[in-house]
Amino acid sequence: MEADWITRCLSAASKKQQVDPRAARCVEDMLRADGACRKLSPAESARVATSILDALKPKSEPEPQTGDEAGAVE
Amino acid sequence: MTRLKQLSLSWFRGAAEAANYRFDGSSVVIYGENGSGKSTFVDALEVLIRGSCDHLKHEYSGTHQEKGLVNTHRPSGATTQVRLGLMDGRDAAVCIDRPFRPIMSGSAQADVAAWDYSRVVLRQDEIASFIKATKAEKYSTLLPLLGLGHLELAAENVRQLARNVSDKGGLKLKQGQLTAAQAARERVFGDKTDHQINKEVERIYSRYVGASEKDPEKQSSAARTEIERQQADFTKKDRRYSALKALADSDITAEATALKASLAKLEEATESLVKERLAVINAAEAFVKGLEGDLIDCPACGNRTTVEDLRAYVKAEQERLHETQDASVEHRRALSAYCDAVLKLKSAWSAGELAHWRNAEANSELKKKVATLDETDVSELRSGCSAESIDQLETIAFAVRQAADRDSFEAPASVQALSDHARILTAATEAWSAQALLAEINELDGLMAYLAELEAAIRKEIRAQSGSIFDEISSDIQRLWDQLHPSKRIQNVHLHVPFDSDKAIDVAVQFHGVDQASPRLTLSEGYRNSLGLSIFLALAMRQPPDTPIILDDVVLSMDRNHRGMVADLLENELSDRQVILLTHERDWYIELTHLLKPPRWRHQMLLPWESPEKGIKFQGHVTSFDLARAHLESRPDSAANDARKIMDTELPIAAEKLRTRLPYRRGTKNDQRTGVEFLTQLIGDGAKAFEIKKEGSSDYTKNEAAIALMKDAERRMIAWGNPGSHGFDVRKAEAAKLIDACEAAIGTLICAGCTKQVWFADTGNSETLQCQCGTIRWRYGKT
Repeated sequence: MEADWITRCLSAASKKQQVDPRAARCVEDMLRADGACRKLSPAESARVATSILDALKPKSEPEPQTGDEAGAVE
Repeated sequence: MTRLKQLSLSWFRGAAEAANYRFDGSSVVIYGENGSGKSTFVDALEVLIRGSCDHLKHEYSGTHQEKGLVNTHRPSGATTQVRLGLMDGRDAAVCIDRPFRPIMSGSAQADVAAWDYSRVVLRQDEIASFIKATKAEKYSTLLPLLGLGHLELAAENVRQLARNVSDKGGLKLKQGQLTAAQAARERVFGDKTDHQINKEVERIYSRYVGASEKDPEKQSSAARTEIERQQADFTKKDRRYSALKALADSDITAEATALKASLAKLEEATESLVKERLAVINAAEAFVKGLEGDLIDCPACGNRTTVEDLRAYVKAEQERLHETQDASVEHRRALSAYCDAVLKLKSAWSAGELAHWRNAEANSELKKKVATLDETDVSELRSGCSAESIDQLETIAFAVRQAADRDSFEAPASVQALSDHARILTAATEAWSAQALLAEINELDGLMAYLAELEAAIRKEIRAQSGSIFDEISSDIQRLWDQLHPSKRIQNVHLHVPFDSDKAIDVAVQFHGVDQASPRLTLSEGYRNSLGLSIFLALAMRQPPDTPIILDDVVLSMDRNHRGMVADLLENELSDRQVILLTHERDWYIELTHLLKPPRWRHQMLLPWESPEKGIKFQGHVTSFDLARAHLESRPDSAANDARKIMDTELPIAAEKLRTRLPYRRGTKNDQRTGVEFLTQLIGDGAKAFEIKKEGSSDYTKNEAAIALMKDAERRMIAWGNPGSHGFDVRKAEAAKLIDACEAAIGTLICAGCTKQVWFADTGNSETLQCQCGTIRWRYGKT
């Protein structure tokens, strides 16, 4: 079955320029939600940009729990 | 959806209590002189489809356009309403009452609102403006009509997202920070490689710690801890040396130089930009003053220019503005770095270990100078500073460092070494941070490049999809055009996306075998409007079959011949569509009553509009002479003139149908014959050719009564019709007699029995035409 235009365009772009899949997913989500229906407001666009940048941030290691946080009872 | 049945208006624009446009599923030609209510009909449809009226979008029409949509004389308690009835019994309505927000309702409301107004209604001014529009404007207009608007929205959203990613990610700022970090690294390490820096750190680590740690950052951290421990054990004197050394190393020269450079760059960019902008405004002012003739091309500077030059100019302007933006970012970064350096200097100067040294310098020149340093508020400095204040602080810093360097010269080698090694470790840490910064910048650059590629891919998709649609539409446009202009002088009419532009659509033609990039190059106004009409109809034909097509005064610039072609085109190409054709051209309307026949077509006439209270009214018994009579009371001259014009239109048609031969005239005079000339010829031919069946017999006799009525009309037209057209006084009674006589003369050509015209049928022999029942006949062979 022929891919839809969003898939085609995303695939063409990622062939030419490697990108983190998490960022590509954010862009795809934008296009599949309202990004191909109406002009997004600057605030909406900024939110998508933030979510892309957040997705690219390295995930910090979960901090080891201290005894108190692990459920110590006062 | 089903076809339109009726549109009812109450107190909407020109309409009073009730105005009903009846269609009953048929196509309709509506005639009305200017201001009679044609556009009110189109406005009402527009409000039903769009919720507002485009030409009322201005500051005077009120928040909900109520000042334009509501009849100015609406009685209190009355409601403004538009109701569209469909043939399937459903309806769509809009009610405009206080607080004037249009309230939509009706079972078909959602379906009507889903119509694409641009493909349903075509107004005369829209044809002209479409052809005249730029490629970019055509792109904006056509793309949604082609069903590709979503792709353009997606491309624009991706472009906007890229800008936001750049801003939010602080790409420009990070690039500036990286440049500064690289400069700082160069100051300490020269052109040493990363490996050599790591080796340097390892050497220091081995000297102070000597364990087996391999990670350079951990080595640095461990060595720094040891250095700090040893510094803590310093004697008072050594601590003073160490503080002096730190002060001597507090160099703000690089930051001050960078800040001054960024300041100069920003000033240069801003000053030049303002100068250029002023020049453009001055040129625009001169352009407006000298505006005449065809010198309208560049809307910014008024100069005639090629598209390529204009495009290059816009691009250069954009680049310059971007450079100015970059200069601002760079300036902010340089200012921040400079303030940090000043803060470091102040901190080193104020070190407790240097209290004695500072007091020793109390009476020196240095003490006087550093008063300025003490008073400098760095938080204030961060909001901006002048080149003079930068110079002043730089001079002070230089003097302070010189004094500190002089007095720390005698420091023991161990103190010196600890300070130097601490400085190297700090610089190494900054260099590693710069590597991380570079990685972030590369990631952001990659993301930006990806978004740019995505936008390019979407635009490529637009080009690919529009290409196949263009082929289909272009074929339709060419077919429609060929019907309007069968001479074939214009061929290969087609829409295309120019290869050198992403956001553009244009129309190209082949003129006498020569390719033309734009119809504006060679086509006359009338031809351009024909082309606009062909494009609109080609697009409208792609709508679902029951979607109506409304044509509002679309033949204004066409000659009579091409108007006839439009009628043929409506019959041939849109026979399965419901078309509402509005015109204020009475001659064309009369012609259409002959060309567009019932039951598919209906013809309606609007009465001249008199007042807001009376509103829009249709002529009940519809004849064109009735319309002329409508003026009798107020404007008898106009009524007489109308009668003459009706004869000017009706008689050439009759003469042509009855094979009447008029003497040939040179040039355009053939087309300028008056109705009187045709009538005189018909009287002459009719004396022999026009016959009527004798009562109770199958024999015919000359139709002398008809000829007498024609002669009466001819006499009155010569006497009153012509003066009426030139504005001489024609009294009401005289005009009434003229109208009656003309109507009677035209009426002689219609059979009282079968109501068909005398040319209804050709008998096939003896060169004779006759009505359907054969009561009257015209033996054109006898003329």
